[in-house]
Amino acid sequence: MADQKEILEKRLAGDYEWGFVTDIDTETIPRGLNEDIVRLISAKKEEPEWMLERRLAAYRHWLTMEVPTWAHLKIPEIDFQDIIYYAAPRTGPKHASMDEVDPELLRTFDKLGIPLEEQMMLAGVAVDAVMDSVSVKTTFQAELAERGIVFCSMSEAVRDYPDLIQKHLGSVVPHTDNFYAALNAAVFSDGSFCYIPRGVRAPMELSTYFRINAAGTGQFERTLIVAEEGSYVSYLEGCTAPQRDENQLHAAVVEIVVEAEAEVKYSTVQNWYPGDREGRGGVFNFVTKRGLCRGARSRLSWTQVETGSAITWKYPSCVLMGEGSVGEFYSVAMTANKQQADTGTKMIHLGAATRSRIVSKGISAGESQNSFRGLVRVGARAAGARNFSQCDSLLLGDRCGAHTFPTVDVSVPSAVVEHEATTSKINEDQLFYLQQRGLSGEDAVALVVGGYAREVLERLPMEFAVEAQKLLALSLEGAVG
Amino acid sequence: MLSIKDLHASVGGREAGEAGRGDGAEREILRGINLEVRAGEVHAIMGPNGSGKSTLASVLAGNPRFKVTSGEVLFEERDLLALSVEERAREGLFLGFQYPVEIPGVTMANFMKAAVAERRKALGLQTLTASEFLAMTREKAALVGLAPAMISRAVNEGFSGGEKKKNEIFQMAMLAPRLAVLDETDSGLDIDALRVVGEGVTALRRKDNAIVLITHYQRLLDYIVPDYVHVLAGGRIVLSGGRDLALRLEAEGYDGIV
Amino acid sequence: MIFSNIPEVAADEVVAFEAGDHAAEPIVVKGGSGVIRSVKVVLGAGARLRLPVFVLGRGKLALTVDLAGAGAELHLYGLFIAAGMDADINVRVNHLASDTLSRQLVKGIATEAGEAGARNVDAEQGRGEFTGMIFVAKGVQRVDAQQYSRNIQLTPGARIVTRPQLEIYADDVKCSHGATVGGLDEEAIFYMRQRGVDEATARRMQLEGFVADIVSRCPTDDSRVEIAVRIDKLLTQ
Repeated sequence: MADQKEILEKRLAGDYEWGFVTDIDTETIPRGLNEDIVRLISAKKEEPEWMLERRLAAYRHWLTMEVPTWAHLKIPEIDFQDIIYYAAPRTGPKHASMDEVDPELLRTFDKLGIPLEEQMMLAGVAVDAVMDSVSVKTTFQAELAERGIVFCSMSEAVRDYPDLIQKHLGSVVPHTDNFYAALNAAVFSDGSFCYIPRGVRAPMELSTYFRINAAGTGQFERTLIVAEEGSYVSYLEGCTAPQRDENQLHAAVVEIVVEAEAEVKYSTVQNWYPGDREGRGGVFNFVTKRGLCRGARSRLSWTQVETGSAITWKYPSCVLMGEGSVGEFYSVAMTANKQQADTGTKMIHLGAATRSRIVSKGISAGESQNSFRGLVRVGARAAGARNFSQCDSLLLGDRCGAHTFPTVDVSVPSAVVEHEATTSKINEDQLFYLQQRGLSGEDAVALVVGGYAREVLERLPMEFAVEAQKLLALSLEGAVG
Repeated sequence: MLSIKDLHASVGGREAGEAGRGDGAEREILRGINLEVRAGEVHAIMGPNGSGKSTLASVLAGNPRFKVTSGEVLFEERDLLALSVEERAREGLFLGFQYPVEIPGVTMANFMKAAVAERRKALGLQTLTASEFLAMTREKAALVGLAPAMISRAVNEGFSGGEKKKNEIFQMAMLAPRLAVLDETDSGLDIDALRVVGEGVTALRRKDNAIVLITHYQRLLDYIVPDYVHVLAGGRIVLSGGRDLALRLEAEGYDGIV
Repeated sequence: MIFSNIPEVAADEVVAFEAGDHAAEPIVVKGGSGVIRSVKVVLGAGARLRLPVFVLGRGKLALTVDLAGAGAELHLYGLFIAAGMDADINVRVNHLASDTLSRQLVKGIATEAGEAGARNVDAEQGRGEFTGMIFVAKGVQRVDAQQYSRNIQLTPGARIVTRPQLEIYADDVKCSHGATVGGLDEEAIFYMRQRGVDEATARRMQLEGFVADIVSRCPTDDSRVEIAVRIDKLLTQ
């Protein structure tokens, strides 16, 4: 329908930018990467010798590796010597009060439904104007400590829990795994370490705690979560609020170890700056995320809502080793303008009676390219393994691309693996129906897309499901064309 | 003909079945079943859901999902539990499935040809010629009101619920078993189909065969009149009686009796 | 920005079809020495093709089908059997014109070496692979494409790898694919055994049922029989 196309075109005109003041760090180290820089990073973080040795081993291995080019992505050549690999953490707040914050930014926060205290924190308003969040944080800390749960920065963990770090760091994603994992292992800035002892259930979503406690997100984040037998934790990474970063390349690594009967839920909402409408600027988000379901009947589920970044390249995966272990992957990935995404998951079934479920909903708009890439591998010992995958793509407009590249690899007769995928455009009959009931064209699109993504959004911790829904709608405003 | 002594059987656990499920602990379902069935008799086994009725049928047929933990079953003096699934069938044991499975690509004709040939071999009878076989299928299909063209369709594929149940009785007619165990053959049938199935089974009764009817409701027993009625609850036969017991159950429900 | 990083195989044989209904004789890779047969089919406007393809032995078929004119239709039926060897089918269907339709049903069996296959064994266990790309070019509208990959894995260690792929640059499309991998239906096996059919025969009948709807697409009795005989040899243990 002609007028619908018009509506869609108009939406594409929405801009993503707003003013954002960034202070230049007072401490600078030279650009480029060499062994001295690695030593410098380790020294600035006051790391023990064993950690430096690991970084150096990773760096030396990285030198032998080549930039991977197999993804369905056009990645401009990255000059790895033109990056500053160490940034001192942001020290003080940028603004004395909310009046100083860009009203556009605040409008976005409002649209996303982010609570005022968090808005202040995200905008960098002075902490003493945010009494509530400080007390909330203290309460959470006490509750966690009571149960023996460790939740701190990776830097602190290296110092305070060396045994745990030495045991688990690199056990799921070794530095030899891929080019960006090696880079991360050499220069990782900071990240989170979370340890849940036997039989303990984390008393709250570590999301809430995390957001209040969010340090400046680094370019090479390193996260490790260890869930001992029978434990449970739900962890949320990221933010619906749009985030700009001077650093274009983000190469994070997340490792998760799940022991018998334990369960970890890892949710990500990602809205890094996606670049302007011409595709300039924007974050490159190259992430390696993997969980090892080591114990029997361990469970790991990944849920992600990806709307930002110029280029997203990640496959949160599960290695299902323990008998009866379960892996799940739920994803909504939206690309618009000139964004690109090549994302998906790998489910590696090693143990008997292991199960996995994959639900991926891609949305392509503008001139973007959105690919789902998946692997379900069932090894010869994974008797009775089960997998079900559903990968759908929605095309908004005729200048974008939607692609699906799954691989199913099975070596045992008692496994049952089913994969389905559908690609289509938005259902115009549904749009017309909604418009006939009075909804605007844009609202109709937002509603239909929300319905399309619902199965994934439902998996998020409650408060974030609502925010993520709004984020999708917001992204559609600026994207549908 | 059939003698079951203190039969115990469970499901689940690692060894159960080739699928290697291993997703739970073993659960005992049959907890000491005792039953005697003689030639010419019809026994009805009734009971609440979960009592173990279908498990009994599956265990007699030799479904690998279930493990016999103790007890003895003699079929025509032979140790039934020592026989494989197909050996039991060739000896003359027939299971009418509660949920007959669909087998795409395999025609009823090819399937029945093979099954009938095996049964006749076990009985020392000559194989049927193609036309004899076709004539037999037409005759038996008429018995249960199935169109003869059904023989060219894939096994149970696209069959309605009623057709699937009729197909079970059709196969029973083709194979002429010594003992037919019919597992909830009446479930999902409308009044007309029930009558057709009921009359079909009754027509197959002989002095030298026996039928065990597993049923939840008594209405099938209006058509296939049993000699004995047993109530199965909690994995054991808790009550036995004649035809009247079924009527009592219908009036009072299982709670009053079990 | 369009690109495809899945390259087309340069074809040895090219066949074009004009408007009308065509029921082609099957393309058969008989295998033996690891043959790779690469074929390109071009369907002009209004050309509707039914094409069965078989890889029955060690070898690979690389097939490209261009739907180059409006009204072109492809109905592809494929079967590969890896009985103690590697058997691959690689299909690329390019929707290059609007108002085109493609339907693919490719079945695969991976199992250990049978008697007949013993001479051409790569390993004791076979590896069967299917890669099927559906490509829709930019600006091409009203495309209806479906692809199903159904696979049976018979013995531990025999391997099935299936890669259904979609690369789509237009929006007025309905494209879907499905893939399943599993063993024989154990419930169906039990059902047949309960009727007195021995286990090996029950399994065999199921396998024959599995391939029946592909073999039946051969347009003549001769090709159908020849293929049935080859399949029989491969599956006989």
